[in-house]
Amino acid sequence: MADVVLKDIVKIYPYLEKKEKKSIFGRKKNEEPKKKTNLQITDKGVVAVQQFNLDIKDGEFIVLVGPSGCGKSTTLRMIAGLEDITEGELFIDGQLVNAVEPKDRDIAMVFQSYALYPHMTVFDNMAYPLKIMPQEITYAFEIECINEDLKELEHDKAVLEQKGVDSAKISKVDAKIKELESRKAECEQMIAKGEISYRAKMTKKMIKHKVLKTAEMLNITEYLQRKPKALSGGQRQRVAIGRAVVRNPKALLMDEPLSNLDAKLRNKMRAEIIKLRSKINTTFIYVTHDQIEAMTLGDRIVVMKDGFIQQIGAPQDVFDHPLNKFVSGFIGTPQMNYFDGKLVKTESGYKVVIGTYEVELSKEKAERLENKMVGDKDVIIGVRPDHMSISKTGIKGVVEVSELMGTSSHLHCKIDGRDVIAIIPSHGIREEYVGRSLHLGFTGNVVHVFDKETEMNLEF
Amino acid sequence: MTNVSKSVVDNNKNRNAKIKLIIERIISYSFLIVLTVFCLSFFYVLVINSTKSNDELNSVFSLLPSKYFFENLIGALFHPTSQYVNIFSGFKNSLIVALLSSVLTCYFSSLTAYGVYAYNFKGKRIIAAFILAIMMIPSQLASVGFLKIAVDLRITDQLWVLIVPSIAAPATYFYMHQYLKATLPLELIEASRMDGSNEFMTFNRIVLPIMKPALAVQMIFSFVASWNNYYMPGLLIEDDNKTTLPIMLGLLRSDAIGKVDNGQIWMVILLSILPVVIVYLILSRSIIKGVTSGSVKG
Amino acid sequence: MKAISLERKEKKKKVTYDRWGLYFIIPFFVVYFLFTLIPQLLTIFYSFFEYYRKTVGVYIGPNFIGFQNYVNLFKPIDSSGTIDILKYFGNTTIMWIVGALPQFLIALILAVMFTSTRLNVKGQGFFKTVFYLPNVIMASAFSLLIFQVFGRVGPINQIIVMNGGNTVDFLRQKTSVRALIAMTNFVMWFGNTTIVLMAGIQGIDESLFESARIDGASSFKVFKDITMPLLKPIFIYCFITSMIGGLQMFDVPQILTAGQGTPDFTSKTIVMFINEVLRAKDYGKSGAISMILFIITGILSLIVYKITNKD
Repeated sequence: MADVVLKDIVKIYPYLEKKEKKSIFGRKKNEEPKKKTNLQITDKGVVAVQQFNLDIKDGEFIVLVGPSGCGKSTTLRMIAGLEDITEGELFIDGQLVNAVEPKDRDIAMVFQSYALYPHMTVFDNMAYPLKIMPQEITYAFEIECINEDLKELEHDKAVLEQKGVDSAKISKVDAKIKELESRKAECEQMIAKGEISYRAKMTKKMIKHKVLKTAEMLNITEYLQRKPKALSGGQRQRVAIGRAVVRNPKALLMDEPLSNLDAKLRNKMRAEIIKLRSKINTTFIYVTHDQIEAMTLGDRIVVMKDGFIQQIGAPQDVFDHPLNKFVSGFIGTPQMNYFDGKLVKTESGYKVVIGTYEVELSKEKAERLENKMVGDKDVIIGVRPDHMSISKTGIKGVVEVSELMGTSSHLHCKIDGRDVIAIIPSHGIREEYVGRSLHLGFTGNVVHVFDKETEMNLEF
Repeated sequence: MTNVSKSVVDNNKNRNAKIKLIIERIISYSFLIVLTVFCLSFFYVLVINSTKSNDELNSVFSLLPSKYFFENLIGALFHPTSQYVNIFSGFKNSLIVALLSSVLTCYFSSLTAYGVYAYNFKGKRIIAAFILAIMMIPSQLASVGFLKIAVDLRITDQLWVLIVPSIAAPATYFYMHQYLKATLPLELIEASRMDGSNEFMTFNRIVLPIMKPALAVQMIFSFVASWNNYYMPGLLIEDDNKTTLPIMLGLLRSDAIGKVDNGQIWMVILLSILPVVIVYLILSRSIIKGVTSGSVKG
Repeated sequence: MKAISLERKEKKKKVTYDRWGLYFIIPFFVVYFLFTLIPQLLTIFYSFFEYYRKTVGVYIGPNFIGFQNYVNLFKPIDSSGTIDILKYFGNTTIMWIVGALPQFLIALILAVMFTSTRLNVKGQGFFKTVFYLPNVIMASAFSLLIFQVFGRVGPINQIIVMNGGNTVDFLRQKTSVRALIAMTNFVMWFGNTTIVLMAGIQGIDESLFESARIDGASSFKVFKDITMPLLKPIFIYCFITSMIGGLQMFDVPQILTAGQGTPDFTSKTIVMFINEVLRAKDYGKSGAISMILFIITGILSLIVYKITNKD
């Protein structure tokens, strides 16, 4: 477990590299870090991440979310150490790690393609990280292993005694048991002294114990001897997670881990990740383009666009109080509806005006606007489809398409040339909406007011 | 009525087509069999004649084997009638050179291909293009300068001079690079980095095992090429104790007229091709597959 | 200010693996430079020098003589007016063509036969194994085998004598020696060509053949109108690489004629020429011949490159 702090992180891809990759081995995509559409281009290169500041707390579940090409994966890869940091500082557990190699950062990562070693069995895949590097071994864990061994040896001894074979063998077993017990006592002493762990290469037995334990937690014990080829997508996903968590990393990075699964499996794995979190103690940093994953998994989410952080906050906060138009549109489905309108200051507060339709803003919102000393101005007004309702006044529109979703209907209306969606609960009554002209309204506490130029939420 | 006559016509058409196909097949198979017999006849004669005595060979040809196989074998191995024939040292030298060359070729070609494939160092583009360009240069262009250097440095007659150059094998590099591009996702390397492996370990533990199929193919091809190589070794090796099999056969040829036991000559030819033939017959399927994948270089 | 920027610079040490790529290619390039590039440059260098061994241990040169080595190569050395290099170049070309024509014809027939779904040839694995077998065999061993088979007391002559003929001295007649060399090359390479052409045909979209057949094309028409045009790039590629290989013909004629190119140097190839001059330690002359061969293959390679890069 560790906190991760990103300070003024900038990532610039120099031109030179890009050209090189394109022209020689032309056809292949590989290292090319996704389409950089709206990214800023400077004389140094293409800027992928800009002034990224984030304080990830110990044990927190952070989700980086944004459309493709927004720099979220680049950020994750910089935390991992797979991508160097152009500017800024990265701290893990209080230590500056900009120049530290990934293997020495004590973090693990689950890749989008899972990146399982195809020539190794599941067991070997999971054992690989334990085999090649010294690991933090807790005395408690060692005692666990010793206990297991002792049980085995005792069993062996019993069998030998039953058979009544030569005593030399039995005394050999006895000696081993003695040896293990003395080591166990040593460990217990260390614990009593307040020592928790030491760093060393794991023995084969420890590795086996650890892998089995992790496999059990992830329900993949029965596949341990299979090669990745023989596993289904969901099973591979679990193995990839298993390989990542087997060495108790300080932080677990996940790069769109569910995007290769079908919708049903994705829902299931999402729940599994939530469960996993309660079982292992580590900081999660999770990258996704799927806002539902972001909403359901994250303690806090970081919404990104074109290399810039747009907003950081708890999912519900971001949903309720989007900082700008982009965030309001990106989080929540179907997308928020936007209207051109006016913000007008009244005696009692504020109201928004769309054509002839006027809505008084709630007290809370008005207060915030007041604090910001916002005057009358042209604004973009955003209302989520769930917050639209059929009313007598409201904005007039014609229903073009009606999608029946069971408990509700999604009405697609054309208003002033814009598509507007309203979600209308069906209350058990089937109504035909298509072709009808309706008035759609909303209340004053669900309105978001954005500046027309800067597209910032005027409440902040 | 019309139906019946039509079906008769159809039947005829069908039968004619069938007959035509059968005739085509007969022609095809005959052609294949003739070619097969032609190819195998050389080897048949080789095997048959290695069982005959010198006298039998010099009298009348017969397609039947005789009973001097072991005599010829023992003769060729222990009492060669040609001063140039020393099967044991020829085999030993050929085996050392071919085995080490092919291992070096495969390992370093893979390492180089991996270096170019997985990393973005400065000048990578130029280096990749350079290796492709030098692939086209015929090998004997170097032979004059190579021999000159070897003579000056007095390193002729040493087997390592035949082995070490195989570290730089552009064609094998090219094949390995293609293979890596097709099979090794860069994420796998990154995963290994995250798991704590250093770069060299990643190559040896993750990349090489994944390249096994390509390594097997290239191992065979480079082994065969080195085993059969005559030109450079022929120029560099003069010491009778260092000669490889192809040089030995060349010397035997200039020695062959008249005084050498004929049965032994056949036996020596048989012995020198036998290892490669056996390996080929066991692995022919993958070797033939490798021919096509290797030949699309350029 | 300065102190801060200095500190910054120190911190800029990055996690980058790219230097490893360089480390990994070092062995290849060190060996390439020492054992290939430098010798190649030396070859070119000496081709402009008079530099040869007069007697044992006595060398003439190196004296810079410009293109004289090249000029000398194209001068007739005796009254007969034959120019060695042209003669050997002619020998090489003739022997290559005589072997390559049947090689490509038969390989093409075999490739079409093996890929035909209509004929559906059984036992392809066996046939391919047999046809490719001569390619893996040591050229020197195969040549010695041919020498034995066609020698004065070899099986072929024994059969001729048995049938009442006179012993034919295959290895002392221009035509038969050249034919034997061409045949050996043919036997060694037609299997390889078959396999490559087969892969080429298999690379063509199967549905093209099917649609042509449904449109009423006969087998021959399919071959002429679909197979051949689409196979052309690979066919030409094969042909030119075979030409480059043919120019470097050495093992077979060298062993079959014991390096003599008998009779009367009519089966001596360019590389045999280089080999002979080089054994006599004439670095200038052998360098010049190597360069000429290099230039010719260079041009041919360029054609290959152009063709393979077109599709």
